[in-house]
Amino acid sequence: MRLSKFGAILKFAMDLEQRAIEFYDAAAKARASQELEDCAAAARTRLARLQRLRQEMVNEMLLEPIAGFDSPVLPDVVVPPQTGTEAEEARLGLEQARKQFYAAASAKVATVAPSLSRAFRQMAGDS
Amino acid sequence: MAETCKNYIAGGWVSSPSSQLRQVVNPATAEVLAEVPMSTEEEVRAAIAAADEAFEEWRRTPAVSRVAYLFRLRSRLEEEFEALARTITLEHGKNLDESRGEIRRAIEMVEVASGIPSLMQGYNSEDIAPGIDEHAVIQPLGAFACLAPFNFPAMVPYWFLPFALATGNTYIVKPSPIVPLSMTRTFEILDELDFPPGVVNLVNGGEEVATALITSPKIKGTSFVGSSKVARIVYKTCSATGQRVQAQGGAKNFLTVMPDADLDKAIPNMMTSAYGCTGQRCLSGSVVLAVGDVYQDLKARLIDAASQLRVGNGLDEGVDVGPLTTKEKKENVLKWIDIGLEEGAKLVLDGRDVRVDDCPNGFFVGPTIFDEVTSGMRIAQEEIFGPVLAIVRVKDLDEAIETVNASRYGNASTVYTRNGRTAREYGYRVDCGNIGINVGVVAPMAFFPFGGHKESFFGDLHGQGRDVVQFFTDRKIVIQRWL
Repeated sequence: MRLSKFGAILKFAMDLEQRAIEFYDAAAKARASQELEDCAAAARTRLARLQRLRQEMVNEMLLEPIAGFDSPVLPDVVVPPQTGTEAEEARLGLEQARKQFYAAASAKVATVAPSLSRAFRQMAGDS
Repeated sequence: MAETCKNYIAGGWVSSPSSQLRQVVNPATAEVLAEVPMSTEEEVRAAIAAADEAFEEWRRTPAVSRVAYLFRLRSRLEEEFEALARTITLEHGKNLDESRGEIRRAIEMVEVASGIPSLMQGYNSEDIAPGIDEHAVIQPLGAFACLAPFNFPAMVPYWFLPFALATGNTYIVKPSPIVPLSMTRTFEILDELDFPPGVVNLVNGGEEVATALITSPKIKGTSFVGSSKVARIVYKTCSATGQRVQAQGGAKNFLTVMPDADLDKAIPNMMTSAYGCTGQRCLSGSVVLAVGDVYQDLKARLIDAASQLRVGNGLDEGVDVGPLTTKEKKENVLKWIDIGLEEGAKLVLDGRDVRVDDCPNGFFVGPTIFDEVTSGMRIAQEEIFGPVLAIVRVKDLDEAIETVNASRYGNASTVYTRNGRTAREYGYRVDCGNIGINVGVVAPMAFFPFGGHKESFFGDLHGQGRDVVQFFTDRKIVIQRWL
């Protein structure tokens, strides 16, 4: 999916984190894993930060098209994993997609929205 | 069967008895989304009576309590942010990000209006004579009304509504019958907030509703946004009724590009100015004044950039240019393209035959550019309100400013330059309400006034900012001596 505006990028990021929360919650419940619970909590924190960024940083006022930026295809992770291996593979796939997305998004908005770019960069480094 | 929009009067939803219904159409698909009644004069009278009756209690509600409603309104708008944006796109056609920007602006108005406890403070002088003090008290006036346009169905009513409520007035909104759904959703949210009955009211309809509002002496003032032709009528009628009035009209906005402009940055900015909201903004750039030898390079780059914009259903995140809002508006834009050709302008980018595969019935016109336009042509003078850009060559800054100032409109104008002196001259001499320096959509923030000059605005006090606080209040002088 082409993401050609700030709002589209933010919306994708929020959807991504929402999806991560749903996956980690389900996986943590299925696997009784503290690590997965921590991942869910981290995704909630990132989602809250994205919502705050949207409200406070008026990026939706910047309407120039952003060229050449497509959303990554997210791995299908909505089904709770049955085994520890499945859980780990799904977690790695999701984390990799998330980090790649934030790194690329950070670079794309760096010139016009430095504060948003910085937040994305931090989220890309977040684990 | 499509749902019929209701009116919101005296704190409750009421069905209109009117048998006159207008279809609300998704412009990307031509599907009917709802029907809207052309409400009757009696319904308007009921809304006016409710607003009038609610005024006394509402004005006596402390300002800090009044803005508490706005705090909750802000929270609900944030929660409904994406849903409201989708509603705007569905009924208007603009792309999702443009709708998000519209909601963001609406929220910004609510935030600024929440500062009313400070913004409407009065002032005083002690001892204007021995033992005598003088106070200026700022007071609300009563019931006000808004006649909203189709192009910003959610944002424009917010230029006024939160300020009216915060200052202690009561309010009636008449949305455009083309796009009533955003306001219907807004009023569902307002209904949740438990305003006292009659403080906020919604009456759907057309000319009959508007006429009933602007001819009512019980309405203290009207805010209108639309064409200059109608703005002039609203201004005259409100004045004759004894109402306050702020009537925003049409526009023809010039983008002046100097030879020293940074085109790498200016071109994307001009794309959103000319083609954002499919050119249906009163701030859309519609004429490019190419100064001196910037012309060739500028023309080539404009055509290249506009050709790359993606036309389609605004609900698709990757779409740059959505449809025109109605079939009639599309036909009007096509008519203007024909006029440009008849006048001898050269069509260097033709958006007439644009095809959107998954939306074959949508009201689409792609980005269009006319070259070899002269300032005397109608396409350089009249408002087209569509994705059509005209390139006019001028020799220098003076000729550019003369061309802008010759327009009967004066809403906005932009200069692209790297020269501070040029920028200052432009801001100083151009007769427009909003001047952009390397900014193509000169939309003032909520804490600044928004309004044009010349035939783009009829009235004294603009929307937003301190102007709108003054519009909704009057000064009363109290001179007191305690003997």
